[in-house]
Amino acid sequence: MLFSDVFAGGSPMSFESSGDVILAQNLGKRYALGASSYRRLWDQLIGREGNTDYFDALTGVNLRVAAGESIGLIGHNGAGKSTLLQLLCGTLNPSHGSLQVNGHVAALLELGAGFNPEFTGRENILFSAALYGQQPQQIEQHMQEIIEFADIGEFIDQPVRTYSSGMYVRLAFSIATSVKPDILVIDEALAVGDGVFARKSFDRIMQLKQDGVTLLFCSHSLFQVEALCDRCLWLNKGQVMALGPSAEVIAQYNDWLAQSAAAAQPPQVEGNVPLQAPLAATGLARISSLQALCDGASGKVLYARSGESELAVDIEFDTDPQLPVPNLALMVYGADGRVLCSTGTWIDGVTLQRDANGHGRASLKYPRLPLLKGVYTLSAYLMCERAVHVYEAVSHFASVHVSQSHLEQGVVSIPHQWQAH
Amino acid sequence: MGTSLGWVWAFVSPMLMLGVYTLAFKYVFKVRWPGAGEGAVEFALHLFAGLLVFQAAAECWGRSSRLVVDQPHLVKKVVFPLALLPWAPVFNALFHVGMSMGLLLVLALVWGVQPHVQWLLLPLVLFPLGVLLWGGSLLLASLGVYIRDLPQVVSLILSLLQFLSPVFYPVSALPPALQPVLGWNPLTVFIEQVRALVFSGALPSIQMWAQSLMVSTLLAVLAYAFFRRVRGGFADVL
Repeated sequence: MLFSDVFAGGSPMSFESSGDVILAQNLGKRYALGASSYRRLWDQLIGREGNTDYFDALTGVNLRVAAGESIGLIGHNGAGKSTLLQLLCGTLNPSHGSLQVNGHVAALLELGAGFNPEFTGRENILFSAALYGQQPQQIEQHMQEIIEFADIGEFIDQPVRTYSSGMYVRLAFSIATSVKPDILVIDEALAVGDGVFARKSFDRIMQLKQDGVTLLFCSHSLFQVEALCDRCLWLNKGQVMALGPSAEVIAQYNDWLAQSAAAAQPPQVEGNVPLQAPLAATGLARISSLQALCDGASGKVLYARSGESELAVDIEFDTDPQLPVPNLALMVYGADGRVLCSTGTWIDGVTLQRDANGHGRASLKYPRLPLLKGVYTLSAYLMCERAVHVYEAVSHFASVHVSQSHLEQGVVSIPHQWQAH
Repeated sequence: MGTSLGWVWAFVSPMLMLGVYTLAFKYVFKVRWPGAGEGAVEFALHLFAGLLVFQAAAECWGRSSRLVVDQPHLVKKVVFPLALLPWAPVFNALFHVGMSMGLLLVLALVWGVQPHVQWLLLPLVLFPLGVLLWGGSLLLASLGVYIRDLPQVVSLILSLLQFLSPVFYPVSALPPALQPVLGWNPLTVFIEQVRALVFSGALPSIQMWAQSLMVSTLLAVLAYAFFRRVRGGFADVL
């Protein structure tokens, strides 16, 4: 133990005083497969590893996180992301290596899992807050704030088994984030609940990040990881594939995804977007109309000629006028489901316009479509002013079949110039 | 939680048990309590004094092997100090002992048993029992995670223990050769002490009391050490 600390370049004391909040050294989690529980009890008692079959959910993770840093966690399902998060939260014990966590961890994993269904909302607040190690008077201070944020009305004095799943996560989120944690662990979603609460919870998470809370964010939404996290840890089958600046690691991960052909599924074009009434003062935002046109012809399946046709997308959106001006984004996918290119109003420096009801429209044009022959699909996103929180995503709303009259090879024709000397 | 009669059950169930046992042993089998006269009430009171101690252990330990197993979310989802869990059944059992004890003393007074000032020391005499219950409960709760048949085994042992504890008879009624065997049952000493204190005001000697406290504490410490040792594996088995 001591020797390993020396070789790792520091003792626990220096970790405490270094301002770092997480230090994992050769961290691993191993599950015994098939061993009888009697056998496990015996192994546990004499403190050894039995000689049965093992499954390594996580091996050899070395990670040092400074206070205030944001770390993204990416990888396939079963890569060990959740195991790592559970180790950090202390609900799992490491099988080997060491893990030191300096500070109070708030986990947005399986929100409300610690609730007792027979207790009322108020009693569960007391119970959960006590689990977070708060003193009774501290809890009393925060009680009103938690109840107001959760906004579940008089249900607060009903047993939580009577709650809808929405109320359940609202209360749990409110409890978990009411006292500023040192480390915030987020599994998958940057926002919880639906509609207004989703936006509210997203704002609170952003506020915590701004206040210097260390963030551990595990998600399949790579653009969100890249937008929020300084560094990124890519796990595959329990092994660390890469750890480094988010943009680099995500680029490597994308390449790797494209190579594993098994993942390639042609995207399916989905249904229509129904037209809806304006969203006055609801705190919501949504795409109300979405249409793709190719040379003036609209539809879910479009036919275009490479280098000649004009592809256009008309988007209408409705927002609560109180919300900040949102952003729109469009992604173009290849037949293998890989993102070929994307664009967003915030990237191009465009500010959307809205009328007094919060209604707005925008159109995007690709003149002389530079895509080469093949089938492509389009997805549209309505996003918050920071372009991180997604109000609404309409995935693969149209497909474009591109044909070409020449033999140019590839996916896209990049603007180019020849010069003969 | 949530029962509409609440603490009334703490009176009703011991009274019913007492009635049935008295009927069976006194009137059907014609058992006579050695040294306590002929009456049915004397028999019932002596039986009750033993029964309330046994019931406390049975209630507490009968639930204990499921304590952790029934609440896997406290192991896997949140960081919960699991060693707190046994306090619930222990306090529940001690509450019932208190209720039953009050009932016993009232019945004893009504029947003309002479009150003793030493009765006030009953809580102190039973203190080591609380420690014993807690240790046993924590041990069973830890074992129960790994041994899923434990609740069945415990209920079997408890039903045997009811007859292997001096509940329906005093230790002195056994053949002298068998009496030390009963001494291995940790409940024996408490049952005998409660009877002696209630019916003749006899306090256990300081040595006796200290000894049972030491044994109970040792068991509780061992149970806690065991719990600490195996707790790390809970999440893997649940």
